[in-house]
Amino acid sequence: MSLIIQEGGLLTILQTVDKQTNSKQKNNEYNGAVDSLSPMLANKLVGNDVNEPTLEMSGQPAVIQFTEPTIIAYSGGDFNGRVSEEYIQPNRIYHVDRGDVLSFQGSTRGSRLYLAIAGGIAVEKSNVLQSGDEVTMRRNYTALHDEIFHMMSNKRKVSWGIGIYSLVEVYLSDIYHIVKRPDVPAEVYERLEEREYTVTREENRIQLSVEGQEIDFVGAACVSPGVLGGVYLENNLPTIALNDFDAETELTHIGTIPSYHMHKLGQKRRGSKIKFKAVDSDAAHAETYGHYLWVNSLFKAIDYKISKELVKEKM
Amino acid sequence: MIFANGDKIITYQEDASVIKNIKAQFDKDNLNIDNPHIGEVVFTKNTVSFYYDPVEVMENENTIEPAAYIIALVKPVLDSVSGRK
Repeated sequence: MSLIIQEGGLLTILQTVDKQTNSKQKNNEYNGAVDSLSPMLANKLVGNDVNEPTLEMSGQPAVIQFTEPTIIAYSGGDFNGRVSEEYIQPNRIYHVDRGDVLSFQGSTRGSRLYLAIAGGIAVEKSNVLQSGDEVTMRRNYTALHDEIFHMMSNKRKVSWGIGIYSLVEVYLSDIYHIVKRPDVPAEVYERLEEREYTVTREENRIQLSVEGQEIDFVGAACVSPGVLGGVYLENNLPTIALNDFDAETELTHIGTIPSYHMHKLGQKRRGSKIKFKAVDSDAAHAETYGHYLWVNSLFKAIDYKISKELVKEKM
Repeated sequence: MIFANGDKIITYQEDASVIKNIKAQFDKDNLNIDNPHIGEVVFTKNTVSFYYDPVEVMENENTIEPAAYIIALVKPVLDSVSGRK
Protein backbone atom coordinates (compact mmCIF):
# COMPACT_ATOMS: atom_id res chain seq x y z
CA MET A 1 0.00 0.00 0.00
CA SER A 2 1.35 3.42 -0.87
CA LEU A 3 -1.48 5.77 -1.84
CA ILE A 4 -5.02 5.71 -0.52
CA ILE A 5 -7.79 7.34 -2.53
CA GLN A 6 -9.70 9.14 0.22
CA GLU A 7 -12.20 10.68 -2.20
CA GLY A 8 -12.50 9.34 -5.73
CA GLY A 9 -13.38 12.64 -7.41
CA LEU A 10 -15.39 12.69 -10.64
CA LEU A 11 -13.26 10.25 -12.63
CA THR A 12 -9.86 9.11 -11.40
CA ILE A 13 -8.17 6.49 -13.50
CA LEU A 14 -4.72 4.93 -13.76
CA GLN A 15 -3.92 5.52 -17.38
CA THR A 16 -1.09 4.89 -19.82
CA VAL A 17 0.20 7.72 -22.01
CA ASP A 18 -0.69 5.97 -25.28
CA LYS A 19 -3.21 3.25 -26.03
CA GLN A 20 -2.05 -0.21 -24.95
CA THR A 21 -3.48 -3.03 -26.99
CA ASN A 22 -1.72 -5.83 -25.13
CA SER A 23 -2.65 -5.06 -21.55
CA LYS A 24 -2.15 -8.04 -19.26
CA GLN A 25 -4.82 -6.81 -16.87
CA LYS A 26 -8.21 -8.13 -17.88
CA ASN A 27 -11.21 -5.79 -17.82
CA ASN A 28 -8.99 -2.72 -17.57
CA GLU A 29 -8.94 -0.46 -20.59
CA TYR A 30 -5.76 1.44 -21.24
CA ASN A 31 -6.83 3.62 -24.15
CA GLY A 32 -4.28 6.32 -23.38
CA ALA A 33 -4.36 9.71 -21.69
CA VAL A 34 -6.82 12.20 -23.19
CA ASP A 35 -4.11 14.88 -22.93
CA SER A 36 -1.02 12.76 -23.58
CA LEU A 37 1.53 15.57 -23.22
CA SER A 38 0.73 16.32 -19.57
CA PRO A 39 1.50 12.86 -18.14
CA MET A 40 4.81 12.89 -20.04
CA LEU A 41 5.73 16.25 -18.48
CA ALA A 42 4.77 15.09 -14.98
CA ASN A 43 6.77 11.88 -15.43
CA LYS A 44 9.78 13.80 -16.71
CA LEU A 45 9.75 16.05 -13.65
CA VAL A 46 9.88 13.13 -11.19
CA GLY A 47 12.58 11.28 -13.14
CA ASN A 48 10.30 8.56 -14.59
CA ASP A 49 10.25 7.20 -18.10
CA VAL A 50 7.87 9.61 -19.87
CA ASN A 51 5.52 6.75 -20.76
CA GLU A 52 5.00 5.57 -17.19
CA PRO A 53 1.25 5.33 -16.29
CA THR A 54 -0.08 8.25 -14.23
CA LEU A 55 -3.32 9.07 -12.42
CA GLU A 56 -5.67 10.92 -14.78
CA MET A 57 -8.23 12.99 -12.86
CA SER A 58 -11.08 14.69 -14.69
CA GLY A 59 -13.34 17.49 -13.47
CA GLN A 60 -13.17 17.24 -9.69
CA PRO A 61 -9.83 15.59 -8.79
CA ALA A 62 -9.41 12.97 -6.08
CA VAL A 63 -8.14 13.44 -2.52
CA ILE A 64 -5.13 11.18 -1.99
CA GLN A 65 -3.22 10.16 1.13
CA PHE A 66 0.40 8.97 0.98
CA THR A 67 1.52 6.19 3.30
CA GLU A 68 5.22 6.64 2.57
CA PRO A 69 7.46 9.51 1.45
CA THR A 70 7.86 10.07 -2.27
CA ILE A 71 8.35 12.64 -5.02
CA ILE A 72 5.37 13.85 -7.02
CA ALA A 73 4.51 16.25 -9.85
CA TYR A 74 1.27 16.97 -11.64
CA SER A 75 0.55 18.57 -14.97
CA GLY A 76 -2.43 19.44 -17.15
CA GLY A 77 -5.24 21.83 -16.19
CA ASP A 78 -4.46 24.80 -13.98
CA PHE A 79 -5.53 23.16 -10.71
CA ASN A 80 -4.06 24.56 -7.52
CA GLY A 81 -3.30 21.75 -5.14
CA ARG A 82 -2.62 21.40 -1.45
CA VAL A 83 -0.41 18.94 0.40
CA SER A 84 -1.72 18.99 3.93
CA GLU A 85 -1.48 22.74 4.74
CA GLU A 86 0.83 23.83 1.92
CA TYR A 87 -0.32 25.07 -1.51
CA ILE A 88 1.28 23.47 -4.54
CA GLN A 89 1.19 24.19 -8.28
CA PRO A 90 1.22 22.21 -11.51
CA ASN A 91 4.47 21.43 -13.34
CA ARG A 92 6.69 21.48 -10.25
CA ILE A 93 8.49 18.84 -8.19
CA TYR A 94 7.30 18.20 -4.61
CA HIS A 95 8.38 15.94 -1.82
CA VAL A 96 5.52 14.42 0.19
CA ASP A 97 5.78 12.61 3.51
CA ARG A 98 4.03 9.67 5.04
CA GLY A 99 0.55 10.77 6.10
CA ASP A 100 0.38 13.79 3.78
CA VAL A 101 -2.94 14.38 2.05
CA LEU A 102 -3.04 15.78 -1.48
CA SER A 103 -6.16 17.65 -2.58
CA PHE A 104 -7.05 20.08 -5.35
CA GLN A 105 -9.19 23.15 -5.84
CA GLY A 106 -11.11 23.92 -9.02
CA SER A 107 -9.24 24.72 -12.18
CA THR A 108 -9.04 28.13 -13.83
CA ARG A 109 -8.03 26.51 -17.14
CA GLY A 110 -8.36 22.95 -18.32
CA SER A 111 -10.42 20.02 -17.15
CA ARG A 112 -8.00 17.26 -16.16
CA LEU A 113 -4.71 16.73 -14.44
CA TYR A 114 -2.11 13.96 -14.41
CA LEU A 115 -0.28 12.95 -11.24
CA ALA A 116 3.08 11.19 -11.56
CA ILE A 117 4.79 9.40 -8.69
CA ALA A 118 8.55 8.76 -8.75
CA GLY A 119 9.23 5.10 -9.53
CA GLY A 120 5.76 4.52 -10.99
CA ILE A 121 2.44 3.21 -9.70
CA ALA A 122 0.16 0.24 -10.32
CA VAL A 123 -3.25 -1.07 -9.31
CA GLU A 124 -4.20 -4.63 -8.50
CA LYS A 125 -7.87 -4.41 -9.45
CA SER A 126 -9.78 -1.87 -11.55
CA ASN A 127 -7.86 1.07 -12.98
CA VAL A 128 -10.93 3.25 -12.36
CA LEU A 129 -10.33 4.38 -8.79
CA GLN A 130 -12.93 5.05 -6.14
CA SER A 131 -12.93 6.20 -2.54
CA GLY A 132 -11.06 3.69 -0.39
CA ASP A 133 -9.03 2.16 -3.24
CA GLU A 134 -5.31 1.65 -2.90
CA VAL A 135 -2.59 2.36 -5.42
CA THR A 136 0.76 0.60 -5.13
CA MET A 137 4.08 2.34 -5.67
CA ARG A 138 6.16 0.25 -8.06
CA ARG A 139 9.39 1.73 -6.62
CA ASN A 140 11.12 1.15 -9.93
CA TYR A 141 13.85 3.55 -8.91
CA THR A 142 16.79 4.53 -11.09
CA ALA A 143 20.01 6.36 -10.23
CA LEU A 144 18.24 9.58 -11.26
CA HIS A 145 15.43 8.89 -8.78
CA ASP A 146 18.01 8.32 -6.04
CA GLU A 147 19.57 11.68 -6.82
CA ILE A 148 16.20 13.45 -6.93
CA PHE A 149 15.23 11.87 -3.59
CA HIS A 150 18.54 13.01 -2.12
CA MET A 151 18.08 16.49 -3.59
CA MET A 152 14.58 16.75 -2.08
CA SER A 153 15.47 15.19 1.29
CA ASN A 154 15.61 18.53 3.09
CA LYS A 155 12.99 20.47 1.18
CA ARG A 156 9.38 20.26 0.10
CA LYS A 157 9.84 21.70 -3.39
CA VAL A 158 12.31 23.12 -5.87
CA SER A 159 12.19 26.78 -6.79
CA TRP A 160 11.47 26.25 -10.49
CA GLY A 161 8.90 24.55 -12.65
CA ILE A 162 7.61 24.59 -16.22
CA GLY A 163 6.14 28.09 -16.66
CA ILE A 164 2.78 28.52 -18.32
CA TYR A 165 4.51 30.66 -20.97
CA SER A 166 6.38 27.52 -22.11
CA LEU A 167 3.10 25.74 -22.79
CA VAL A 168 1.05 28.59 -24.26
CA GLU A 169 1.64 27.50 -27.84
CA VAL A 170 0.25 24.05 -27.16
CA TYR A 171 -2.66 24.77 -24.87
CA LEU A 172 -4.05 28.25 -25.30
CA SER A 173 -5.16 28.46 -28.93
CA ASP A 174 -8.74 27.56 -29.81
CA ILE A 175 -7.85 26.61 -33.39
CA TYR A 176 -7.95 22.91 -34.28
CA HIS A 177 -6.64 21.43 -37.47
CA ILE A 178 -8.81 18.81 -39.13
CA VAL A 179 -7.20 16.62 -41.79
CA LYS A 180 -9.53 16.60 -44.80
CA ARG A 181 -10.98 13.52 -46.48
CA PRO A 182 -10.92 13.36 -50.29
CA ASP A 183 -14.63 12.47 -50.53
CA VAL A 184 -15.94 15.37 -48.45
CA PRO A 185 -16.85 18.46 -50.52
CA ALA A 186 -14.87 21.68 -49.98
CA GLU A 187 -18.10 23.47 -48.98
CA VAL A 188 -18.32 21.29 -45.87
CA TYR A 189 -14.90 22.50 -44.70
CA GLU A 190 -15.72 26.10 -45.64
CA ARG A 191 -18.83 25.94 -43.49
CA LEU A 192 -16.95 24.22 -40.68
CA GLU A 193 -14.33 26.98 -40.67
CA GLU A 194 -16.83 29.83 -40.84
CA ARG A 195 -17.70 30.16 -37.17
CA GLU A 196 -16.64 29.10 -33.70
CA TYR A 197 -18.17 26.11 -31.98
CA THR A 198 -18.83 25.88 -28.26
CA VAL A 199 -18.30 22.70 -26.25
CA THR A 200 -21.62 21.67 -24.73
CA ARG A 201 -20.49 18.53 -22.96
CA GLU A 202 -17.92 15.79 -22.70
CA GLU A 203 -19.03 12.23 -22.24
CA ASN A 204 -16.21 11.07 -20.00
CA ARG A 205 -13.24 10.19 -22.22
CA ILE A 206 -15.65 9.18 -25.01
CA GLN A 207 -16.61 12.22 -27.04
CA LEU A 208 -16.91 16.00 -27.06
CA SER A 209 -20.15 17.50 -28.29
CA VAL A 210 -20.34 21.06 -29.60
CA GLU A 211 -22.96 23.55 -30.71
CA GLY A 212 -22.69 26.07 -33.53
CA GLN A 213 -22.88 26.15 -37.30
CA GLU A 214 -24.78 23.11 -38.60
CA ILE A 215 -23.23 21.05 -41.40
CA ASP A 216 -25.79 19.69 -43.82
CA PHE A 217 -23.91 16.73 -45.23
CA VAL A 218 -24.47 13.00 -45.29
CA GLY A 219 -21.61 10.80 -46.44
CA ALA A 220 -21.92 7.44 -48.18
CA ALA A 221 -23.35 4.69 -45.98
CA CYS A 222 -20.27 3.29 -44.29
CA VAL A 223 -19.10 1.77 -41.04
CA SER A 224 -16.11 3.97 -40.20
CA PRO A 225 -13.45 3.25 -37.62
CA GLY A 226 -13.81 5.23 -34.40
CA VAL A 227 -10.44 6.97 -34.32
CA LEU A 228 -8.99 9.28 -31.71
CA GLY A 229 -9.63 12.84 -32.90
CA GLY A 230 -12.14 11.70 -35.49
CA VAL A 231 -14.75 14.37 -36.29
CA TYR A 232 -18.17 12.85 -36.99
CA LEU A 233 -21.51 14.47 -37.73
CA GLU A 234 -24.27 13.77 -35.26
CA ASN A 235 -27.52 15.67 -35.83
CA ASN A 236 -25.61 17.89 -38.29
CA LEU A 237 -23.11 18.98 -35.63
CA PRO A 238 -19.51 17.87 -35.17
CA THR A 239 -18.80 15.31 -32.47
CA ILE A 240 -15.14 14.69 -31.66
CA ALA A 241 -13.95 11.23 -30.66
CA LEU A 242 -11.83 10.91 -27.52
CA ASN A 243 -9.87 7.88 -26.34
CA ASP A 244 -12.79 5.67 -25.26
CA PHE A 245 -14.94 6.30 -28.37
CA ASP A 246 -16.60 3.29 -30.01
CA ALA A 247 -14.29 1.14 -32.15
CA GLU A 248 -16.62 1.74 -35.11
CA THR A 249 -19.47 4.06 -36.00
CA GLU A 250 -22.06 4.69 -38.68
CA LEU A 251 -21.88 8.45 -38.15
CA THR A 252 -20.54 10.42 -41.12
CA HIS A 253 -16.82 11.00 -40.71
CA ILE A 254 -15.61 14.33 -42.11
CA GLY A 255 -11.97 14.37 -40.99
CA THR A 256 -9.62 13.80 -38.08
CA ILE A 257 -7.86 16.19 -35.70
CA PRO A 258 -4.09 15.46 -35.74
CA SER A 259 -2.31 14.22 -32.61
CA TYR A 260 -0.54 17.54 -31.93
CA HIS A 261 -3.87 19.27 -31.26
CA MET A 262 -5.33 16.51 -29.09
CA HIS A 263 -3.55 17.69 -25.91
CA LYS A 264 -5.46 20.93 -25.76
CA LEU A 265 -8.66 19.23 -26.85
CA GLY A 266 -8.31 16.98 -23.80
CA GLN A 267 -8.40 20.07 -21.60
CA LYS A 268 -11.55 21.58 -23.11
CA ARG A 269 -14.57 21.88 -20.88
CA ARG A 270 -18.15 23.00 -21.19
CA GLY A 271 -18.28 26.50 -22.70
CA SER A 272 -14.81 26.28 -24.27
CA LYS A 273 -14.49 27.50 -27.87
CA ILE A 274 -13.32 25.46 -30.84
CA LYS A 275 -12.47 26.80 -34.28
CA PHE A 276 -11.63 24.35 -37.04
CA LYS A 277 -9.05 24.82 -39.77
CA ALA A 278 -9.06 22.22 -42.55
CA VAL A 279 -5.59 21.04 -43.65
CA ASP A 280 -4.21 18.28 -45.82
CA SER A 281 -2.05 15.50 -44.42
CA ASP A 282 1.24 17.01 -45.61
CA ALA A 283 0.58 20.24 -43.73
CA ALA A 284 -0.44 18.20 -40.67
CA HIS A 285 2.75 16.15 -40.83
CA ALA A 286 4.92 19.28 -40.98
CA GLU A 287 3.18 20.40 -37.75
CA THR A 288 3.52 16.91 -36.23
CA TYR A 289 7.26 17.02 -36.74
CA GLY A 290 7.55 20.56 -35.39
CA HIS A 291 5.58 19.51 -32.32
CA TYR A 292 7.84 16.47 -31.81
CA LEU A 293 10.93 18.71 -31.88
CA TRP A 294 9.32 21.15 -29.46
CA VAL A 295 8.42 18.39 -26.98
CA ASN A 296 11.98 17.07 -27.12
CA SER A 297 13.42 20.51 -26.48
CA LEU A 298 11.10 20.89 -23.48
CA PHE A 299 12.26 17.53 -22.11
CA LYS A 300 15.89 18.59 -22.57
CA ALA A 301 15.18 21.82 -20.69
CA ILE A 302 13.74 19.78 -17.79
CA ASP A 303 16.80 17.48 -17.81
CA TYR A 304 19.03 20.54 -17.70
CA LYS A 305 17.11 22.13 -14.80
CA ILE A 306 17.22 18.91 -12.79
CA SER A 307 20.93 18.37 -13.40
CA LYS A 308 21.63 22.00 -12.44
CA GLU A 309 19.66 21.52 -9.24
CA LEU A 310 21.60 18.32 -8.49
CA VAL A 311 24.93 20.09 -9.00
CA LYS A 312 23.79 22.95 -6.73
CA GLU A 313 22.86 20.41 -4.07
CA LYS A 314 26.27 18.75 -4.20
CA MET A 315 28.22 22.01 -3.82
CA MET B 1 -10.66 5.12 -51.74
CA ILE B 2 -7.55 5.45 -49.62
CA PHE B 3 -6.85 8.50 -47.48
CA ALA B 4 -4.85 9.93 -44.56
CA ASN B 5 -7.14 9.64 -41.54
CA GLY B 6 -5.49 12.31 -39.39
CA ASP B 7 -1.71 12.20 -39.01
CA LYS B 8 -1.26 8.61 -37.79
CA ILE B 9 -3.65 6.41 -39.76
CA ILE B 10 -4.17 5.46 -43.40
CA THR B 11 -7.69 4.21 -44.10
CA TYR B 12 -8.87 2.24 -47.12
CA GLN B 13 -12.65 2.42 -47.63
CA GLU B 14 -14.55 0.08 -49.92
CA ASP B 15 -17.68 -2.06 -50.26
CA ALA B 16 -18.17 -4.61 -47.51
CA SER B 17 -17.50 -7.53 -49.90
CA VAL B 18 -14.09 -6.09 -50.86
CA ILE B 19 -13.11 -5.52 -47.23
CA LYS B 20 -14.25 -9.06 -46.43
CA ASN B 21 -11.79 -10.43 -49.01
CA ILE B 22 -9.01 -8.24 -47.68
CA LYS B 23 -9.74 -9.40 -44.13
CA ALA B 24 -9.61 -13.05 -45.22
CA GLN B 25 -6.26 -12.45 -46.88
CA PHE B 26 -5.02 -10.53 -43.85
CA ASP B 27 -5.96 -13.42 -41.55
CA LYS B 28 -4.13 -15.79 -43.88
CA ASP B 29 -0.82 -14.02 -44.50
CA ASN B 30 -1.03 -10.49 -43.03
CA LEU B 31 -1.44 -9.27 -46.65
CA ASN B 32 2.28 -9.95 -47.03
CA ILE B 33 2.95 -6.46 -45.77
CA ASP B 34 6.09 -6.72 -43.73
CA ASN B 35 7.11 -3.22 -42.80
CA PRO B 36 8.32 -2.07 -39.36
CA HIS B 37 6.46 1.23 -39.63
CA ILE B 38 3.00 -0.33 -39.83
CA GLY B 39 1.54 -1.03 -36.42
CA GLU B 40 -2.02 -2.00 -35.64
CA VAL B 41 -4.33 -2.93 -38.54
CA VAL B 42 -8.00 -2.35 -37.75
CA PHE B 43 -11.00 -3.53 -39.78
CA THR B 44 -14.62 -2.41 -39.89
CA LYS B 45 -17.28 -3.64 -42.31
CA ASN B 46 -16.22 -1.01 -44.88
CA THR B 47 -12.68 -0.04 -43.95
CA VAL B 48 -9.22 -1.22 -43.12
CA SER B 49 -6.97 1.19 -41.24
CA PHE B 50 -3.20 1.08 -40.86
CA TYR B 51 -1.65 2.82 -37.85
CA TYR B 52 1.85 4.28 -38.15
CA ASP B 53 4.14 6.72 -36.40
CA PRO B 54 4.69 9.62 -38.85
CA VAL B 55 7.81 10.90 -37.07
CA GLU B 56 9.42 7.47 -37.24
CA VAL B 57 8.65 7.25 -40.97
CA MET B 58 9.93 10.78 -41.61
CA GLU B 59 13.21 10.18 -39.80
CA ASN B 60 13.92 6.63 -40.95
CA GLU B 61 12.73 6.93 -44.54
CA ASN B 62 14.00 10.46 -45.08
CA THR B 63 10.67 11.76 -46.31
CA ILE B 64 8.45 14.72 -45.49
CA GLU B 65 5.40 12.85 -46.77
CA PRO B 66 4.93 9.87 -44.47
CA ALA B 67 1.31 9.36 -45.56
CA ALA B 68 2.39 8.99 -49.18
CA TYR B 69 5.06 6.50 -48.06
CA ILE B 70 2.53 4.26 -46.27
CA ILE B 71 -0.03 4.58 -49.07
CA ALA B 72 2.59 3.56 -51.64
CA LEU B 73 3.26 0.50 -49.50
CA VAL B 74 -0.28 -0.72 -48.85
CA LYS B 75 -2.31 0.46 -51.84
CA PRO B 76 -0.89 -1.97 -54.45
CA VAL B 77 -1.51 -4.88 -52.07
CA LEU B 78 -5.07 -3.78 -51.30
CA ASP B 79 -5.83 -3.13 -54.97
CA SER B 80 -4.49 -6.52 -55.92
CA VAL B 81 -6.60 -8.34 -53.31
CA SER B 82 -9.68 -6.33 -54.25
CA GLY B 83 -9.09 -6.92 -57.99
CA ARG B 84 -8.77 -3.21 -58.74
CA LYS B 85 -5.24 -3.06 -60.03
